[in-house]
Amino acid sequence: MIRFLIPLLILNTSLQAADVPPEVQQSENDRIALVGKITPSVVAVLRINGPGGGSGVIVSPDGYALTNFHVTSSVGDVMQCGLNDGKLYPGVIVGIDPTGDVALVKLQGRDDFPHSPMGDSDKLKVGQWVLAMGNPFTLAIDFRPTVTFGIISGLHRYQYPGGSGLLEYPDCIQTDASINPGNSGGPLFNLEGEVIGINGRISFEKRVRVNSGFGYAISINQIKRFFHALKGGRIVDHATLGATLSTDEDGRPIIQDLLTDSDAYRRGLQIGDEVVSFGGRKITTVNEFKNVLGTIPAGWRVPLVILRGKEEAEVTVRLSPLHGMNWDFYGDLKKKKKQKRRPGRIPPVPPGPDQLPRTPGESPEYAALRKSVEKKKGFANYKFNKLEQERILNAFTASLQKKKKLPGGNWQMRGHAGRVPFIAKVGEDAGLLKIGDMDFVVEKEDLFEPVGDDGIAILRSFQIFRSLVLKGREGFRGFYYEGQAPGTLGMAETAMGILGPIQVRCFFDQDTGALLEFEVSFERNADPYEFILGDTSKAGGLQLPHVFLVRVGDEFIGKFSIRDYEFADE
Amino acid sequence: MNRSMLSSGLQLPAMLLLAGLVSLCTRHGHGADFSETCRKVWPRVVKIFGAGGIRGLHSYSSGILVSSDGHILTVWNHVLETDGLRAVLSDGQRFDAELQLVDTSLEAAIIKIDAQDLPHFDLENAPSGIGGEWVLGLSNAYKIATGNEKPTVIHGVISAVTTLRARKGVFESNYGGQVYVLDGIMNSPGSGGGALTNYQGKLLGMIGRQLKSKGTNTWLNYAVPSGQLLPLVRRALKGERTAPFVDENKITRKYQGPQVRHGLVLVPNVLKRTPAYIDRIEANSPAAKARLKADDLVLFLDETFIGTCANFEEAMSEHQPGDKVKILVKRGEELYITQLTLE
Repeated sequence: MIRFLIPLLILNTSLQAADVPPEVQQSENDRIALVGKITPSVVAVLRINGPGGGSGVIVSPDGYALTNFHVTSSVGDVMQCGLNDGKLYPGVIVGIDPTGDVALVKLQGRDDFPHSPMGDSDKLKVGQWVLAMGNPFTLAIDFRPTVTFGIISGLHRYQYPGGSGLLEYPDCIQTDASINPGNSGGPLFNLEGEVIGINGRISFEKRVRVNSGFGYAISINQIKRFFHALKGGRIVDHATLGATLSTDEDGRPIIQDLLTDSDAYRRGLQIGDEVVSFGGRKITTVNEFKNVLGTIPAGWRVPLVILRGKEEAEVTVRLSPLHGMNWDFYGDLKKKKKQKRRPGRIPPVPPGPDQLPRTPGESPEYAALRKSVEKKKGFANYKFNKLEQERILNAFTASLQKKKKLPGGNWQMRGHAGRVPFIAKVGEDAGLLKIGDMDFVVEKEDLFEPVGDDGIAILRSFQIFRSLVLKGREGFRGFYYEGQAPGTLGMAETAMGILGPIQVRCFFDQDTGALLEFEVSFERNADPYEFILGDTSKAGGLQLPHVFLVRVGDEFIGKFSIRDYEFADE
Repeated sequence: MNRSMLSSGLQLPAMLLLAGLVSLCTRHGHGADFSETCRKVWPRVVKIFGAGGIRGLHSYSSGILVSSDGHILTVWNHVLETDGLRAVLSDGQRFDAELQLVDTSLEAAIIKIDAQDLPHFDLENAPSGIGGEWVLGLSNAYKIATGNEKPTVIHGVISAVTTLRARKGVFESNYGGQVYVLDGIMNSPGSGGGALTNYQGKLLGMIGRQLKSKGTNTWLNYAVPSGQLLPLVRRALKGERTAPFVDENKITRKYQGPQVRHGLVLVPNVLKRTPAYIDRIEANSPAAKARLKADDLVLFLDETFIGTCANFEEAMSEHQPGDKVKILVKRGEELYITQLTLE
């Protein structure tokens, strides 16, 4: 074979000198320049002092890098990240998406890391050229990535999850660029140098577990929806509609069964309804539905159009967490570790050459980094959640434009509920709401009781709002940064506050940090009370909303227009 | 140079147009993309579902529409050996399909669906491929696409236009004619019957059945040129049918020899070459006494190699009750040898 290749190569070079059309030369020069530009952002993800590793790509100057979950779960929470400058940087786990096979890590030591922008994978076309980069076979001793070139072979592919229900590849990108063990977690680039996907899986069946011509990348648009949640150190969850779809005799995707405690049920979906569109995408098959569903985080509200008989109806459905509200990922993992698991069609992380110039032992730097990882139920590294909490709460506080320290006493809010005058006296523990001639009272012992009616719910929600403004996260028993999610007023940063059984989701403006809306969920499996805030202006030295629109489920139940706020001393 | 490639069963004659390889590769190079071509070709490629799904045999393959009224060119393999053959067009329309014509020497077949006005390839005016030319392979490899999902597209270059030197032990194929050898990974499970087109979307050939060299343990990426397939397509379009199909390779004969009892029940012999796997063992039979097990793969009876269920029946038919037969089976990754005393 070698004997055959040598004369071929010689022939090839001698012919290349022949006249190559200028546009072809240009095309090649462009490609060489592009590879030069994107190479510095590609990461070789390596286990400390051990064999194995994968790839990744840096997407921000402060060193956040994307890779596969099946890479970080193999190399551990603290890893070595090799860049093409030949240097190893310490890397630490930030957030993980075990279902979607994505992990976010952060490289340490620089604030000017070379990075590549995330593109728009919805704009891709089958047949267009792509570049896959990474560290196949942990080949690169100097961490310079390998480049392979191919086309997009298919789009919107659905690849089933592994046995454990994890590592699902919905709506993924199929490419014929060579993907090999070790490429996992590496970027798929378009010819603009944008990251359009993260390579992580191949089909091979009876073939060998190396480049099979069938590689799959997680679309970057899916990753972008989870990105902020990952940045918040979370173990993110994918979603379920609470309904299963099947294909009827005419090949239409219809709702086959429905959980009665799901939002889909509360929004009025019925068995036999045909799903026509979901998340703004036309649906004609069950796979198309799963493709959309698999790319959306739990808790998001998604438009759904159904056809019942001849009538079309659009509803917005809040998606439930795929693994349930109390998913204990690490706990489940410990239980499962006893059973032997095989990673299915995922290329395994290959052993690396022993001669890699790794940091010997666990240097103090790595040891400190390992210590900094904060494990907590629901979080891969809670340390990063605290950073994000601080960031959004600082922005929120700034948006209040507080001039002086606020008194900690009761608030009085006066105005109109619709056309009826109302007055709310809102304290830490007790409260009173008068709407027309109706009185609603909350005592301290009622705080965590289920709410009987809307008046109490609204009064309790005003109390929560007051606590958030006065005390930030201290107004709750638990508080964490969730990520980004679409609210009524558009994409927002969200945080979850917990008060016993009550969950409060706060939506903050991405730019100004102002509170745009909040949802109070008094009991599970019931619609939350949603408060959409407006008409923000000065009130006693604070920027506060003067309109609260209240919605439950599909129904607007009131508009509270506030004429004035009064703040009593403690 | 040629000699070294012979080991993999191929001859690379002077047809390997190296000059063409370089110039064509670059001319239609990476400046342009293939998305328009894909859009043009997709409606002409069909997903086929049929027999298989057991013992690692895939139950799907690909096909090419060659007439407006539903003639589909595909590879001749086990997938077609069923009455429940289905073809799915790229827009998701499903059809029952019927086997119309088979050419075992080409390892190609025509199946027919009942439809009109379909987009199709015109084989009468199909160009020939040249070594070094950019090509696209469109197929339903790995059954990735279902319903209205689009076939997979793999890009590559024709490495050589040559003759397939298929022979036993190297590439086991009935076909020994001209092929395009491809550098892209075009031949995968289920890709057989897919379309090989040039960069403009003109049909150059049909992706062939999977062939693996037993010498080098490598899979061949190749396609059968349109010109080779044209006579078969012409016959099909004239309405010729393969009379009630009897293939001499397809053993449907029932064992009718002397009544020996071995107690070994093989898997159903549904395919052309069903491997002789043991489905179950009758209690208190010679096979049970010899401690054979379900899922064992029978490899030898005495000195006779058993490649298929049919081989097994044939070899067994030569025995009488009371004969002692040495049997070699593969169990998992191990070989197990034992003796059967026939009753």
